[in-house]
Amino acid sequence: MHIKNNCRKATMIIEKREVDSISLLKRLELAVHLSGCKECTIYAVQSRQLNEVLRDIFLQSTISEPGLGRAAKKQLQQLINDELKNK
Amino acid sequence: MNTIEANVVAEKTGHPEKWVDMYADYLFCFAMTRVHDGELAKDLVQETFLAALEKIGCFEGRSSEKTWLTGILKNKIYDAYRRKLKNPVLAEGDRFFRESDGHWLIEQRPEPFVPAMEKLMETKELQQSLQACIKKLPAGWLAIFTLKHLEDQSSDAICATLKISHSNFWVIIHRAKLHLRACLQKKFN
Repeated sequence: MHIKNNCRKATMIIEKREVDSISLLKRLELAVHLSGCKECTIYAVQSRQLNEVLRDIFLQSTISEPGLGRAAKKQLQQLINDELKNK
Repeated sequence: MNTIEANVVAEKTGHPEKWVDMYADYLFCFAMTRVHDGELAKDLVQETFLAALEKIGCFEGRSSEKTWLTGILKNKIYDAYRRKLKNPVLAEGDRFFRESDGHWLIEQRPEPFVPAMEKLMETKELQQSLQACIKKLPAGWLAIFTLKHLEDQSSDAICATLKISHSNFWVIIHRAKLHLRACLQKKFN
């Protein structure tokens, strides 16, 4: 895969680099591409920062969710009672 | 039978009549943080209780009732992810690069955010904007991020859980990041 002039491929490698390790060849290819591509250099920095914010958002959501409403619970309880009766 | 013995018996057979009181909120939140859809989360909790009633004989008190129910719910969530990944729809602007040579399309070129990302990261504004951007992604794609961040799963494990190929995994991550970055650029430019 030649990425020298291909931003689609370069950004894909940037994403892989963030999650897994990439080969030395890929690292070199990416370095060559980034040295001549302002857009992908901006992308690489923003992509890494975006990962940090994404992680925070997904981890935070565990504490911020309200519970199930009273009506929904009543319905569930009814369903379970019915099932237990039919057993 | 003394209280301790009675507790042990109850521990082994479970008490389904108390499930809603004891676990409904917890299970709903667990599902909500993973599917981000109130109706679906509610359905999944209901399916979990029904499935648990079906196989209550298999519950032997080896794990706590809560752990057992959470395990069933997890499988229901993974099923939902797989269903969603079968038909990923995307609302708008799917094109980022020129077909001919893979260069950025002019209107899609990344630019520094204003204010700069470093400054934005200290504010609530960025998180709120990003949350709005996340909502525009196909639900199945979010499954990958959820498994990665909440379950701490590796790329290999995520592919196995969702039954997708590695190349598909990377295409989704790539697309999702392109979309989220572009969505933020529209707001902070």
